[in-house]
Amino acid sequence: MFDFVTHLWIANVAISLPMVAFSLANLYWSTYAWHSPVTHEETTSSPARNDVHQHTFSVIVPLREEPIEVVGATIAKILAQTHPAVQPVCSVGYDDPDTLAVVRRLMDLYPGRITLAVSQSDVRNKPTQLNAALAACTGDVVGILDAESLSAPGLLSQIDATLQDPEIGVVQGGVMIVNHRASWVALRSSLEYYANHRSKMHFAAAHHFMLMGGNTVFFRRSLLDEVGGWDPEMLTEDAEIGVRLSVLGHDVRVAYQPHLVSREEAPTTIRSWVKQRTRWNLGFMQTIRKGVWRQLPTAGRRRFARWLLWQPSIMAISGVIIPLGVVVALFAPSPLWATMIAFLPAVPTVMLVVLDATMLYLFGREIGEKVRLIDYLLLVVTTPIYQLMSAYAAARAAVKYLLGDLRWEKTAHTGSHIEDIIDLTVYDRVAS
Amino acid sequence: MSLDLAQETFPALTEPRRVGARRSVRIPKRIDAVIVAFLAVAVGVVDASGLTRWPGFNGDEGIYTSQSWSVLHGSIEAYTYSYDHPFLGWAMMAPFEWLAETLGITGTGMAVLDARAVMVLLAVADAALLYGVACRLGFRRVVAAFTVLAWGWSPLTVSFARQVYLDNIALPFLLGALYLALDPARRQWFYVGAGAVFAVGVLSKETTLLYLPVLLYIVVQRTAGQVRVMAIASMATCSVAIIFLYPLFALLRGEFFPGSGHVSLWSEQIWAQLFSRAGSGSLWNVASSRFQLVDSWFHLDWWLPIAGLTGAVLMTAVARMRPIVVAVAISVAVVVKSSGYLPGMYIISVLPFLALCLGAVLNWLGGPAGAGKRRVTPRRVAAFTAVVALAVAMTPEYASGIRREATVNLVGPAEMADQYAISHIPHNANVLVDPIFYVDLIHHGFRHQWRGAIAYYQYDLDPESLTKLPGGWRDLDYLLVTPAMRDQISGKSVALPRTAAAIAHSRVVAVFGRGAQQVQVRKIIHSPSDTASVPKASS
Repeated sequence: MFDFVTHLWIANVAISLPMVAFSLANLYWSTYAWHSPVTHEETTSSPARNDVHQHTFSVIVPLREEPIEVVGATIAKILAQTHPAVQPVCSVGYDDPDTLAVVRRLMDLYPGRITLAVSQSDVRNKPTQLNAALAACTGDVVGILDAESLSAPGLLSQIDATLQDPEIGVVQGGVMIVNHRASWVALRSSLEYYANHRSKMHFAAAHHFMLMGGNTVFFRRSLLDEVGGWDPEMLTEDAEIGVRLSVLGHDVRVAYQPHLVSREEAPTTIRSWVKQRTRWNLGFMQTIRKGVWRQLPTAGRRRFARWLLWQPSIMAISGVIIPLGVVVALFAPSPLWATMIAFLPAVPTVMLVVLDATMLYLFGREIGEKVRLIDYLLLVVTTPIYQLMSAYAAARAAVKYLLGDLRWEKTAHTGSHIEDIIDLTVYDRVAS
Repeated sequence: MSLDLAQETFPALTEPRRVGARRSVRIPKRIDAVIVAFLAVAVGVVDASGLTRWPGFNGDEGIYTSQSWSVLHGSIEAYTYSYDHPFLGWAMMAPFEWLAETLGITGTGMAVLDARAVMVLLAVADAALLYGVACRLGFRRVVAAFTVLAWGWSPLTVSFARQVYLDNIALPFLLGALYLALDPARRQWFYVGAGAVFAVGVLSKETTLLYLPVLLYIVVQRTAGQVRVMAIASMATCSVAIIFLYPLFALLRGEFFPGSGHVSLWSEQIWAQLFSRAGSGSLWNVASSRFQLVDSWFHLDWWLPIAGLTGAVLMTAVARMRPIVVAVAISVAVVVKSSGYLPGMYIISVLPFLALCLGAVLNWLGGPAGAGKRRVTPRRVAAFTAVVALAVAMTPEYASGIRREATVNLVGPAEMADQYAISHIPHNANVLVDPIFYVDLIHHGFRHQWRGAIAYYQYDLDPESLTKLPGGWRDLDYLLVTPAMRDQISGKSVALPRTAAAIAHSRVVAVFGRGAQQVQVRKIIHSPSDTASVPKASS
């Protein structure tokens, strides 16, 4: 007795309230750092003293087809740490002769200071390289810095101070995207990293379950040995090792301080962004399927873990469903109350756009750069495109997952954030 | 009054708080629940006793009652929705109408009186929320309780709180928004909640929007830095987004922009409110309706307005009270300075703020709460004396006002006319009515809208009226004429020629009450023989 239009608007109403709930949940954890003066203080504070060093560090830099400018800058920053006991470990695949040559040049430049670990695995991905490098690490704390990320000089001293609390086994440091002027995609990415490191990660850590990032993370060596290193099957090995550590009861401390963040570059094109995002979505799906999270001790934590792992996909899908719902509400004849309910998801959507702009403002303040009007406009105007991209990446991940295509799609590093920081002529001097 | 003392009584606003740290605002205890229960009963009983007698009906009460009936039965209002107010207020009354119909208690008395009972429930909620707001402003329990009673027992409050007004529906949401915004832990999502609740208040009665600066001020005052930026952005966005669902609703119905053949939100609400509604004149002109309105407020109670305004002036010195002072200032500015139309029920949302200012003075007199070991200090004695003196001074005025409002019957004539119409007028007759009778006639088998019960205002002003009732008075059989209706016909603000013609072509068949209170049942003179019969009078 119901015709198609009736089915359509009933479905639309039925779906709109869950959409409101998901969107509000997303806003809620995105803004955790500003929930109250207490959470703001807790997410900003740090150990008072960081000049007493108790730990030795090995910092793994996984490399794959990297130009020398990129690697050189990263290594130089590691060697310039105020912490005295730092061992950079460059991890390179045996089948990547160009990068091997790059590292050898740097080893000549800094004699005796850089360790080279060559992965003999035929599987070309980051976890195999990390595991290969782990064997060469001598420090009692093992960290990871991505090939293109520039660490702040005081970072390791701060991590050392944080790890002097015996309760803490893992520290997730802050990462900030600094090529936000490169394109609107990079602007979006930098805002997302900011929300993630400034706020969401703290929220997750407070709930004892966290999907860590793969950059600027530090582990006690003993914990890595306990869990047996990284899972080479995983596309998001960084998040997955966090799951295993959570199951063993090791909490992660999130250390975010604007002056200690690692500076990194984000994808600047839609194509590379979609690749990166597909890999993340696919990695989370793998992690869900692997099922280690089911061993979490309480039902509440398992529920939280499930939500956290599904969250990116749900948000991506809702980014398309909400506008579709509004269109249906506009054009499918339906009772007034139904139309009004169908419009409710517009409220959190408007909030999302405004809070994104607010976070951009705060981000600009923290990096000491004034956000231009054009940046705000870009952010607002590109919202629909961005939501389509997210949905596309989620759908692409789902298709790849179903087809069993779990190859590693590497994000290219252009080094666009480096030029003004390091003097490139140094390499030519060494070469000559 | 020194600022130091003020800070000592009302501790600093912005320092972050940790769990377990000393709080400037008490955590609610069981004693607070007991006090709230007492206040709820105290306010509820005074409001309820006499709501079927005082005050006399205002036509708006009938309008909102009939509109909530309409919402329950499928449309925003019985006639063309004219965007005079957002509809959420009476839509929220519909569940109570449903409850009354389900329980089978409709038709026993006047539907407007049932709706007044809902208003009493809202006043009870107001009392609880006002106590909460007072406590979160740092009032001692005894002062907070005094504040609620000074508000709730004021004859001015009692009279207006009983009436079926949208302002009464909006008030708990306004107070609820303040309560949430005063969250001691300054949590962002409580601010968002405050914004959402505030938006519901605005969609109940649009004048609530005047208090938006108060809400913003509270949040600005209590937050700092990044937390403030995020709190303001999220609260304001949530609130504005919800409020904008209303213009969106108009847009969807194709009734936002003016056009031929339909009403529009723009011309009926935005344009009319801002520019074209007939003004109430100047407060300084004794003959103006504005002066008479303010005079009528003071006539019901002058204690609370005067004491509250005095308190507001003194409390400008206390940082924590300044948002409340701003609320009073906005209210006073509207009453004194605005040139537009000033409705009587405007006072409803002002009264709690006046009571808070009065209470704040007493709280300040008492000095810092819980400080020092000595329980009895000269300051506390002075404060206690002031409370007692004020209570003693206010009691006679309040007591006589409450007694009058509990006993004097201003509703009787309308009630008798209602009963008369139900039992004497044929149920297939077309009756032009004051909306206070509208739902009762429906409950007793009359048709409604353009046959049966017909509301007089829409009979004159609804665009559909001319096509539905082209014969004018000839299409009607009876009229139920209230004092409000007569006032409106003789008044200058809105012309109601069709209603006036119907009255002119009718004769009185029954009258109830005397003089200005008189309610008439009139019959249309269709043929010369109708004039022959002798008017039948009743007391």
